[in-house]
Amino acid sequence: MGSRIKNDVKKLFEFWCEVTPTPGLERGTSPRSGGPAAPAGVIVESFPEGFRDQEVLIGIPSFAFPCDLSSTSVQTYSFVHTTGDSKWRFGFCRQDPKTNTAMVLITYLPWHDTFLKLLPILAELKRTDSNGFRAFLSEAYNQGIPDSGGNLKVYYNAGQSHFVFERPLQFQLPSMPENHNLNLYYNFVEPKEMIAVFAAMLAERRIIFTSRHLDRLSSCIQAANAFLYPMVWQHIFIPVLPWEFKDYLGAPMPYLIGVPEPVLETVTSDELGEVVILNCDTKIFESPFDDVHNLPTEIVSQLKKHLNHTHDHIGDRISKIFLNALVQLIGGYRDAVEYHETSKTFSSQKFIESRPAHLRPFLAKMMDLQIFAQFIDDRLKMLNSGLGFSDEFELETVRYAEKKKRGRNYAIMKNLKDKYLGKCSLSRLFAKNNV
Amino acid sequence: MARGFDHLFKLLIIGDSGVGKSSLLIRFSDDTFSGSYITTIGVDFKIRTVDIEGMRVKLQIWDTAGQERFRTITSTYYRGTHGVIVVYDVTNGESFANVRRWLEEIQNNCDVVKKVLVGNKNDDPDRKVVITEDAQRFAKQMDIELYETSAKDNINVENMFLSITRQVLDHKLRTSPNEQQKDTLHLKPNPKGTKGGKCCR
Repeated sequence: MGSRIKNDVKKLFEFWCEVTPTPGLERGTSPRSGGPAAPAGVIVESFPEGFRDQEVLIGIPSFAFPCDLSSTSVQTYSFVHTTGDSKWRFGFCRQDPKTNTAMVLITYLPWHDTFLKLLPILAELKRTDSNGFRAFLSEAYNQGIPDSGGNLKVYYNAGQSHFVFERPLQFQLPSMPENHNLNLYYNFVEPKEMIAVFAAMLAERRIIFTSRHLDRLSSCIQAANAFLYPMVWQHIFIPVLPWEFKDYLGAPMPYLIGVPEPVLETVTSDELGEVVILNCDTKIFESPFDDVHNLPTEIVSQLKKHLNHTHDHIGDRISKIFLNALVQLIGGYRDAVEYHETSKTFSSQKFIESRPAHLRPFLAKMMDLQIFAQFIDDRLKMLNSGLGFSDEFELETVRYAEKKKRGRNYAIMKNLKDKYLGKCSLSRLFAKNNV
Repeated sequence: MARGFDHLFKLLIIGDSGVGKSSLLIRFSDDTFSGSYITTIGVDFKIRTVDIEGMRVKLQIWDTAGQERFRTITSTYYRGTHGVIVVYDVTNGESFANVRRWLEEIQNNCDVVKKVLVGNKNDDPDRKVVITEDAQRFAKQMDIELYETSAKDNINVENMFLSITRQVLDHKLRTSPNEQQKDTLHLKPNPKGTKGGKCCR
């Protein structure tokens, strides 16, 4: 399956820990030369006791202290690990410069808003009531997870306070102001750059986001990634890349990587090669390609028009604008599904031919995308399984088709009217002349 | 700082999980230090520098997690690479079926990229299900070299890696005789669109 979210998750979180950084590491000043790098930090406290999963543990210290950013304020951000079967495992991290520690929560649930809200509460609880803190973790750990759209309350402060773990609805689009990632992306990145990133993702480029702020970095990557829906990024995905991993920026395959600016500064352009870079602080976008130009002109001008800051973008409007672009491009995929006796298949040629002429050159390129191939694979699997399905993408496709049909009817009516009126005026003209 | 090599090639290793890609890489690599990060960030690579025809060639061989989920691996995946090492497990018929499909896709969409077919775990005749003749026939049809290897017993591993390296090097020297010189003199990345031997631009 193309989805990279683990689907049989049983627990709200897998692991919690507190990490202290290794003193005097001075990363970035010495190039990595052979030899194993000293660990970026040490886990000093953890839950549950006896957790030994090395796959989970190995990356935590570097991701809790990805670079030497001497921030004086608390930083809260998320990071992502990839499991052996390509699923994403999420880390939510809170660095506290006062205590010089970071607390990390590891989970398979992509509930950014819930976990980012939870971290400061955990930190406060740990500071004021360490027994209550562990009781809270234990209670949350053993509760299972709520149904889609539902929630789960966990009490603390001797039952005086509670935290609500809210499970997002299944096909909910990111919405402002609730969605933290989208808020930051919208606030720090201009529509023009959002479109440029969207175009680069639709060309499966090697894409780097950079920032001096870890929260902004990971949020912008997550939000940009969500705009690909109903497709899913199938390549390397590392919203926060620790210094120890900087050599991975030389990967020749498509990637989407968030690189803290102090880390990026230690990498030469020779090592990077042909790469697209968005700086989320300066809003500078650099690319050796012209991917926006390759997008159909109509799609780009619609995106520009609708993303304009003069509009009110509260709610899921921004998400819908990008979804609408994808609906126009690939919403008609069902027209190219071929029905055989035992299964259904997809014909790329039939698909391209069934689309309006101005979209065809770009769609022909889209057929070479892994994200499109996986999208089609998944939809065919659903069609072949005989289960009906309707997500926000399919609904939007239906809406778009109806709108177009109305538009077409209107055009036909208008055409007739023009013809009819034209004739009338012509006959009037004749009549006039005859007089 | 001298960079210590005349050519840098980036190769990909593809194949189902469990066919022994990482064992092959560990066998070949001279980087004994680094751990494996494939289950942390979903990607890993190994390095080795070899001498071929009097030239120092640095190889980076890249691997990503969970490729078996792809029915096809599309051309964008190979875009920045010089060569692909396509691995199946001779004791697993399904791993061979996947590889056939992927190779056909490379053949159709990125004919410039160099490739080699590898049947790994060729160390227990009783368990072998993909017979040499079938694999050989397929390799011939695809016009690529087949190597049956065992990473465990270190059979044919070195030959296989040297073969793909030589192919990439030959191709590079043949298609861009000037670039060899340029590459050894300058550290600057090549301007857009002039790289030889890369696939599917």
